[in-house]
Amino acid sequence: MLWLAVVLTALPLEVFASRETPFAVVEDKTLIGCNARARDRGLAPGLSVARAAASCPSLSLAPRDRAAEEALLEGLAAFAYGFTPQVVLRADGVLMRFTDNASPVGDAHRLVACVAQGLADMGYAFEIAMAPTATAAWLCARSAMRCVWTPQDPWRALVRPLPLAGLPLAEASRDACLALGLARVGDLLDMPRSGLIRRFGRDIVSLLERLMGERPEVEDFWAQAPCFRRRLGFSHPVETEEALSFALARIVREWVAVMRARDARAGGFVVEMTHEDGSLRSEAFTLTRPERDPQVLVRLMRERLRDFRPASPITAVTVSAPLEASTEGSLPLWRDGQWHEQGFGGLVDRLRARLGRDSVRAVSVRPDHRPERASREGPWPPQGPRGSAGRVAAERPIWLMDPPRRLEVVCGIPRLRGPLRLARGPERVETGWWDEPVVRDYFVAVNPAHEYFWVFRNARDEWFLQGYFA
Amino acid sequence: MRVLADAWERAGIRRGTAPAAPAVMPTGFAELDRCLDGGGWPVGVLTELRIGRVGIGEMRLLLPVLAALGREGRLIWVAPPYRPCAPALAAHDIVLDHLVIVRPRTHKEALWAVSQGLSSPAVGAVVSWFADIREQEFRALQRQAAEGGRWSFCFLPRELAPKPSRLRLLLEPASRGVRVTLARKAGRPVAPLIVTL
Repeated sequence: MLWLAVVLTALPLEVFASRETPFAVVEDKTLIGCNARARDRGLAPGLSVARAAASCPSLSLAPRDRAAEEALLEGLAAFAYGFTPQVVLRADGVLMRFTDNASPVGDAHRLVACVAQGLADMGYAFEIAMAPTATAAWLCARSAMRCVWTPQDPWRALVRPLPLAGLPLAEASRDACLALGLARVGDLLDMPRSGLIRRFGRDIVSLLERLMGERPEVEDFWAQAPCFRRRLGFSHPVETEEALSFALARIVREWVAVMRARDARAGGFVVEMTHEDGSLRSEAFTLTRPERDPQVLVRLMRERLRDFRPASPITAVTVSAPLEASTEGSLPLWRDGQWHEQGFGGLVDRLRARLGRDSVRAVSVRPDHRPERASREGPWPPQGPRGSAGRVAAERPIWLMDPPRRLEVVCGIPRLRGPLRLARGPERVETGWWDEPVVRDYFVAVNPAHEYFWVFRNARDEWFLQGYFA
Repeated sequence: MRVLADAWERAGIRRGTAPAAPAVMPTGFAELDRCLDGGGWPVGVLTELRIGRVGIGEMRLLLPVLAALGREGRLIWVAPPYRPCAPALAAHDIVLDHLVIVRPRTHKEALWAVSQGLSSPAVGAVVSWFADIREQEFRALQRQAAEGGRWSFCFLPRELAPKPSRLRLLLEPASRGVRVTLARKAGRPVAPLIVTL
C-alpha cells in the first residue's frame, strides 16, 4: 500500500485572489495566513492583528472563508481522483491511496512528480510526500519532507527524526510530550507503550501503531461531486476588467487541472459575479465543441467581459460547470488546444462570446415553396437539409427582401428607379393554403440602369420587390 | 542547360531574376482574369469593391471565387445588406454549412469580426460591407489580410474617398453583366471592361 499526502500550506490564503500589496487572512484576531508581500514586512501566521497592523500599516485583512476553503478542497479532491479513486479529504489537504504497482503513470517517483506538477500548475503552495502508511505520509508532508518512500525503503527508521508537530496529536498531549523532552517521533517510539498508555491514553499508541503500519488504517473515502464550482473572493472589491480576468484565469487553471484529471471537457459554463450591493450577474457560455484548453476558455471569458463596466464593484466571482466525461474532442494529436484554438469552432465561439448569440448566423434552406420562407437566416449552427437539398431549378436572387417591398405602379407598369421591363417569367407560386394562401407570379425584371430585380404580382395586381440579383 | 531549367521548373525553385508570383484565385470570368495580375483575385489583399448601390451584380461577380474558397475553408460575411437567399447561394455552389453571417451592432464590432475572420486559418474568405471606414481602419484590416494570407473583399459605397488599397474595382450595372473599372492595381493600367454574368 502507498499513500500520497498533499498538504496545502497556505490554504486560508489560496481562496483569495492574489494581491501585490501586503495581505493577510484573520481568524480570532490572529493572522493565519499572509502573502509574500506581508512576509517581506516581517509578518507571519500566529501574530495578533493589532501587532501586525502596527508593524505594517498598509496591510489589508480579510476574515477566513471556510466555505471557500471547503470548495477548494473539493476541487483538489476531484483533481486527486484523476489518479486514484481512493481519496481522503483532510482539513487542509488530501490523501491518496494506491495499491502497490497500480499507479496510472508509472513508478512512485513519476507519480509524485505528476501530482506535484498538476498542483504547481494550479498555483498552490503545497507539500507532498509518499509513504507506506497514511499517517506517515501525512507526517512527512506536514514536516515538509518531500519524500517518496516505498515499502522497500527503510522508512520506519527515516520517520524517527521527524518532529512531533506533524502528528495529529491532541494539543495537551503534544505539550506534555515536549515537556518530557520527547520532541521527535523516534523519542515516542522508544518509550514503552504501556507507559505511554498510562500517561497519554490509548489514542497516542494506536496513532503510533498506525504510523508504523502495525494497525490497519480506516479512512472515509471521498465521493466526487458531479460538477466543478469554484468561488474566488476579492479582499478588495474590483472594478476593472483586468483584475477580473486575472482571477478568472486562476480559476480556469484549477478547473482545467480537474478536467484533465477526470478526462472531462467543458461543453458550457457559467460565470457569476457578486456585486458589493449583493446583486448577482451571471454570464452563461456555450461552446461549439467540448473544450479544456485554458487559453481558449480564458479568451472566451475575456471577449465577453471586454466592454464590461460593472455598476458596482465586484466582491467575488464564481465559475461553475458540469464535469462530464467526454470522449468527443479528445483527438488533437498535436499540442492540446492548439488545433482547437485555430479551428473554426474556436472562431465561432469567440464571435459569439463578443457579439452575442444572435449576431452570428447561419443560412439554411427550408422546405417551403414560399420564397421568403424557403431560406432561413438564424443563429449558428445551420439547420435543415444539408448539401444540395435546397436546389431549385428556377432563378433566385441573392438578396431577399423580407417583407417584400411594395412597388410604385404607373400606367400598369411597376417602377423602381425607372420603369421595369419583365425579362423572364412568370413563375407561378401558389402555396401556403394551410396557413396564409399565396398566389404570386414572379418575374425577373430589369430597370433602365440595368439593375436586375425579382418582383412579383399578387392576385390583386399589386407589384412587390422580393429580391436583388446582386 | 535544358536539364537544369527542367529541374528548376519541377522543384518549384524561384529564380532570383523574376519576382515570385503571388498566389491568386481565378475569378471565374476569363475576361477579368486577363486584366488582373497573376490571373485572378490576389491572396493577402483586402480587395476594395466600390458599388453605387446594392444589387448590380456585385455578388454574382464574387460567387465563383467564394464557392471555390468555401469548399474547404469557411466564409465569413460581415454585415451583408440583406438576407441571403439560401437556394440561390446553393445554386451558385456555396456550401451553406461553411457560411457564417455576422450581424454586428456597431462599426467597431464589424471591424473586430472582420479581423477575427482574417486571422483564422479555418477561414477561406472574408467579405464585408461597410457604409464608411476610416483610412487607418482600412490599413489595419489590409495588414491583417496580408499577415493571415486570406482572401478578403470589402464592399464600400462609390462616393467615399479612396482608401489605401492595393486593388480597387469600381462596379457599375451593365446590360447582361457588370462594368468593371480597375481603379487601382499593380502593374499597367487597363481599360474598363464588361464582365458578362
